[in-house]
Amino acid sequence: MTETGMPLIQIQDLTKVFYTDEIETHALSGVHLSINKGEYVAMSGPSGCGKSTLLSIIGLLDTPTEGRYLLNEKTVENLDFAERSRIRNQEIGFIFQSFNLIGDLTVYENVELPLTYRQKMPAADRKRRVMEALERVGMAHRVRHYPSQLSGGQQQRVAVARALGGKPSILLADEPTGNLDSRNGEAVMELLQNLHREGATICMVTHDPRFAKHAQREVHLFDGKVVAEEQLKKLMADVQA
Amino acid sequence: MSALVQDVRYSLRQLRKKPGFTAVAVITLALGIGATTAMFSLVDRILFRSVPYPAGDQLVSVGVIAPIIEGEFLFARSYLTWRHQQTAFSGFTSSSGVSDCDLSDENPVRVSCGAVESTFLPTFGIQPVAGRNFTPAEDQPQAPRVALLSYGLWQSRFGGDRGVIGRSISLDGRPTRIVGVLPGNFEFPTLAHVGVLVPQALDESIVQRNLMGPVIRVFGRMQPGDTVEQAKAKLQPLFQDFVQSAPPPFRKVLRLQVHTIQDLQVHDARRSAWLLLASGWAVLLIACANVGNLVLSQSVGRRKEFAVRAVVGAGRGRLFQQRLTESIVLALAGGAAGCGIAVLIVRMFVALSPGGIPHLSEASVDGRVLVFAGIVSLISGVVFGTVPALEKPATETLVVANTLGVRRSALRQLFIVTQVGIAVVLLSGALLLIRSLRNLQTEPLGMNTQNVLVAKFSLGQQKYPDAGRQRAFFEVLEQRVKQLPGVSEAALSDSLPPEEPARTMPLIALEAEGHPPLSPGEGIGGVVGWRAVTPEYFSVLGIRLLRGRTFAEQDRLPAANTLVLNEAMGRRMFPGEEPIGKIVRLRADDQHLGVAFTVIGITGDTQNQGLGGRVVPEYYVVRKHRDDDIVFRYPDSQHISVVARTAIDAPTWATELRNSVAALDPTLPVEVSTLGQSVARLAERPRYIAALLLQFAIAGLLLTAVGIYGVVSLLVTQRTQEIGIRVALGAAPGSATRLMVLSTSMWIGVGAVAGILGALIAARWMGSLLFGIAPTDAKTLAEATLLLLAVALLGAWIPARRATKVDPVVALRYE
Ligand SMILES: Nc1ncnc2c1ncn2[C@@H]1O[C@H](COP(=O)(O)OP(=O)(O)OP(=O)(O)O)[C@@H](O)[C@H]1O
Ligand SMILES: [Mg+2]
Repeated sequence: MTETGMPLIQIQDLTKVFYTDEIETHALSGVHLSINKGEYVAMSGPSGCGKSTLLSIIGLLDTPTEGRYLLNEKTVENLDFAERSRIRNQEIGFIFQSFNLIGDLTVYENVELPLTYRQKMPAADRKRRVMEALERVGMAHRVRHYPSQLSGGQQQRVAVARALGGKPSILLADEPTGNLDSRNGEAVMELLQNLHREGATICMVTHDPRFAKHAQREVHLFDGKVVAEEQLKKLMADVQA
Repeated sequence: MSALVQDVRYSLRQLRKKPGFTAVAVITLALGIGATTAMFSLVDRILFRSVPYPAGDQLVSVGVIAPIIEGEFLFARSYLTWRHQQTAFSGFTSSSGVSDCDLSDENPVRVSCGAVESTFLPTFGIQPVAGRNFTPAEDQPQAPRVALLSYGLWQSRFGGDRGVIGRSISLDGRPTRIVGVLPGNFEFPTLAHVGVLVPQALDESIVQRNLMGPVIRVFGRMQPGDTVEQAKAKLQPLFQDFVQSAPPPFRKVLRLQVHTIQDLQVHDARRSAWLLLASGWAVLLIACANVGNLVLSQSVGRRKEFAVRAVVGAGRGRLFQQRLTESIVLALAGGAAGCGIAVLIVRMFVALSPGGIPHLSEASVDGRVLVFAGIVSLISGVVFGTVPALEKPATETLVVANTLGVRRSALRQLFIVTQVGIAVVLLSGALLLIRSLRNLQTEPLGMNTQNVLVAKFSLGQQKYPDAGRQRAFFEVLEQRVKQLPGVSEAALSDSLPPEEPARTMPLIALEAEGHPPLSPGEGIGGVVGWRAVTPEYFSVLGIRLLRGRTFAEQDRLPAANTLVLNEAMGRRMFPGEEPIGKIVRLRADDQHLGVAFTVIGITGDTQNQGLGGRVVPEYYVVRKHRDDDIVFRYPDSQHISVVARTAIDAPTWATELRNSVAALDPTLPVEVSTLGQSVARLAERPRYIAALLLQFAIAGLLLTAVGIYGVVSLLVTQRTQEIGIRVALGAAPGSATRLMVLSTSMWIGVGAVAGILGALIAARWMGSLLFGIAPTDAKTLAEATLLLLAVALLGAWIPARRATKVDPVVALRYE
């Protein structure tokens, strides 16, 4: 995939404020984070600390209120919708907690979807990539099924295949096992681990310490900030006290 | 391209997967597109299609407008001068009109003969399909007679045999050689039906001597690039000479008219046509608003899909394209069904149509109309699809918030406002037309139509070529009709109210005893009408005698010269005096008319300008059944109407009459109706248009109600949880219904106000189609609005009732 060791994502002093009615919610306040190519990062922290918000900014689903974000050494924090769509399509693969497959499309079509949004990809290439990705996750025998005909674990595997098909620079996963039982959850984690071994860069949000251990590095968020692990423990203790 | 194919395929799958949604949307669109398409095909020829002549927009009708003659005309003598001197036209030709003529070899038939100059076909760019046009030499008074057959006559009478060229037929008893056959799509510029085209054979030497000579219609082909205005300007000098040569009183009232053949054909039908087309579009807009709302509610359920598509890289343009494609595919499906509906509507409307609306009977859903339907479908797809397609995909919701909340869409309200507004405009337009129609029909006619039967005759040229033969027939006819069983009284007249008198005359041609002639400032003094009637005319029609007496047998003696005036005429000629006993002279150049008439009676006015309560001054002369009766000096003296007061029914009487007439002339067709029917026929066109508009207004009203029903239904479904919570917290069940109805009725109200404004704007434009009612009539507008509000609120209330049935426990479990 990509050369390991180089910084893929560099985030500096990032803040995100949500304005709803007259309330300001500081979801992120001054986050610094850098992820190298080939790294496998797990992000954890208490509920509401801003994990999903950070992930959606990394994934260019949302824009930061302030701060710098370099993706592949390009500034991306102020791009318009069209630019972000394009980069998302090329560079980023998403895996959601609730799978988010499109119910009206078959397994094959779901995986194909990101590729159809690319300019001028020959149909044969597209097909090869889709089948590769589906084989990779062990779902090649279900191409004609609709998502509703699959189990949760199978759906998530298809979602992983969809994320892989575009050969993105990074896979982003938000609680990918959140809606799965432990057996299926472990299967998905194993899949991610295998992908990482083969060179994929992964950033995963999880609150399950067992799964966090799979990663090379853990990033802890607390109240919109990145904190060290010991500090997190102390803060949590304070909160409980 | 592959993206488009993919979108189309996906759209089709979407539609198949939601048969309920698809069915409702397609039916709604089919109604709207069907209505618009049907109206388009009805009015296409009137408004848009060009006349069926090469470079037809260069062709114009040219002439002078004067009060006593309908339409533009030229005296033949002026025509000869203009033809010689004009520079405005590359072709200049004339026709002395279309009249009945008899084809009388074996099994004689009455057809219509158009008399035209030899340059007529070349000027119009028409080539005979067989044979040739007649030559200038054949277009001479002494030349052997020749004729061109219409394609229809050629087929029906001669079986399309090419051998007829050169054959001789008998036309009005004279041997005539067939020289050619007109093409199938030949259309006479005045739209008169023409079976045979003959040379008009103007006798130039007679015409040159006769200033006011025969009246003809003139057509020109403008120089390429000229506008009608330019052509008209070039004719001005000739027209000014014409004015100078006219008698002084006429000079002020003459106008030059140059207008396209299209205008000539459709003149007053154009406004109604636009009205009908606009009503079709209105129904379509309402339908689009409905479908727009449906699509919006669909997209609520598909927000996750759109968000996912955006997340994996679909740009907004790409998403917009996909959603718009879906709408257009839907619209095209609706359009296809709409074409089916249009075929039905057009058939029905053509079947119901009264005569006299140009080109209506030719309306059909042809290729051109299908193209129109396709374009309309595309446009509707864009109209209802664009707005939902512009929705921003909520990508952030996929990660950050799990529930996709109900977004309150201002669009939905916009759709409601639009459709309610349009429905108000449609309804008020339809109600106005209906009121106007009722006014037309209830306006007193000034006569009694009960128990009066009417028969119309038209004597053929061949059997009745002169006054003597016509007079002889009329005389016997009068006697026979009076002897028919059940007839208490019967009369003959050349025309019947409320139609215009068959003949008119400038007032200046009449001289009232004891009154100075009109001053030069008064011009011709306006136009008055006259009818030639038999004595019982007034009592048969129940026209009131105000003073004096009506005609008696003694007035038919050769020496008697008496006149009956209607009230308007009495007032016009003898203001403030008693006209009875006064002398009136007809002051024409023609010395035969220089007779002194004594006024013997004044009758009540009858409507005599069609329906609509207008009365022009009118006088009556008695038919003496003498060859020197004044009527025989005028063209069209062969037409006669018989009226009879009788208690027996029309079919029985018709049989009796036919038998009786057959003994006189077995080939003469007899048309019988009641006077009531023949009056009602005059209201057919306004009734037809009102009926069409009413049907569209009802369709619009129902679609609007269905649309509102749909929106409120969806609102209730989407807010079930909220309602459940309210009820759980102690709100009365009915309050939720009220809330739903109230929140919708505000927008219905806004729509109604917009509709009232729209109706007031549209009113200005409808004014000339209405009779006896102001286009801004407050009562009508209020009724339309109230009717709409009632139906719309019902549409809102029915689904809102479901809100009372929400079980709070279920609602709380809803996630
Ligand atoms: N669209 C939004 N509008 C307003 N506030 C928001 C929005 N999205 C998130 N927030 C707020 O931002 C903060 C961070 O939310 P976020 O979803 O990132 O938390 P999280 O770490 O993913 O929590 P969890 O583990 O429960 O998923 C929360 O306080 C949340 O209420
Ligand atoms: Mg989260």
